[in-house]
Amino acid sequence: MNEPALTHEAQNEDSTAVFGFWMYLMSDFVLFAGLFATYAVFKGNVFGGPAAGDLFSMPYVLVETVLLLTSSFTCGLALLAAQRGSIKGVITALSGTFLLGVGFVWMEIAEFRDLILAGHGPDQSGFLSSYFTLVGTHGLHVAIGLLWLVALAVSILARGLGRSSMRKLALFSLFWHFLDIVWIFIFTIVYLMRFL
Amino acid sequence: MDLYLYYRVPHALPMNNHTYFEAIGFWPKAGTHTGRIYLVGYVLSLALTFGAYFLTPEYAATPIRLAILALAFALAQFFVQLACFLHLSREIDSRDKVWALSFVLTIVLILVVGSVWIMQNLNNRMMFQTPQEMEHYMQTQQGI
Repeated sequence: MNEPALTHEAQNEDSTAVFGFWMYLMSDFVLFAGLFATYAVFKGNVFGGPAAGDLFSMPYVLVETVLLLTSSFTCGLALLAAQRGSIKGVITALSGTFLLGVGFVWMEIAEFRDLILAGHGPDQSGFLSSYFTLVGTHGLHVAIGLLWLVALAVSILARGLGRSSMRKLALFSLFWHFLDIVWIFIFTIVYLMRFL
Repeated sequence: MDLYLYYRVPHALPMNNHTYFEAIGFWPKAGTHTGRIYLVGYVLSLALTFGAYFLTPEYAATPIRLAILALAFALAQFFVQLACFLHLSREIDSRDKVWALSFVLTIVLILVVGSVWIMQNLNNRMMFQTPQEMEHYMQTQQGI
């Protein structure tokens, strides 16, 4: 690579950028904690309507989980390709991440749509309000991440794998892995513990 | 060649992508097989997910036990993903992130456990009252 040397200052700037983004992700954890707390409190407020145990299809959720988990893995593959300097590898891995992420969001929207059409929308009860808010906020994060992913891929195609592209890849991967970690807890607390 | 320079010229590293992620402290130091770490993390997470999915109904007689088992799987996967995907470790570069994470996890615990505890407590205290008794209680106690 005929890039200029990565000076100490540049190193510091970029690792500071990573740490700053990490702090944003930490604040996002607190946001989700609030949503989880709300869900835990409202879980039993079904207002005569269906409860968690009545509504969720577990095989469906398992597929969603595997999609998101695999997209997290392909994101790691993208970073490995970037380490090798292979733009083609990066774009391939990012495309895989994108497709899997779109699959996840698609399934989630379909789930929401089915619930709403059956009359079990967020307006039916406290439980459903908190469910749609928690899972919907996570889904929104994923959707915006997908937009970011497209922009990132375009940027890499246009400008190559220079310093800023590498930094952006690092930040995106932090975001994407964070979303999968939050999903672990949604999967467990909302879906696995639905009979609690 | 890169590694040679890396350890001997602390103020100017060669910017080739090969050492970028290590240079900014994002990945573990050169020489650890990051690809393998990602793969191990992925396989372990899959195993823990499927384990949680299939084992919890079988081994958990009561909902509480199911909750504990499921949460155990979740926590295990949480730490696996922190280590393998987010590259948190005991190395110097990870430490600030680990401190920040520990603080935020404390806040999260307080938020969630505190909310559930308080609301459970309130629910338990109010359980034996009809709406009329509730009205009466709030009026006599002046809403306190």
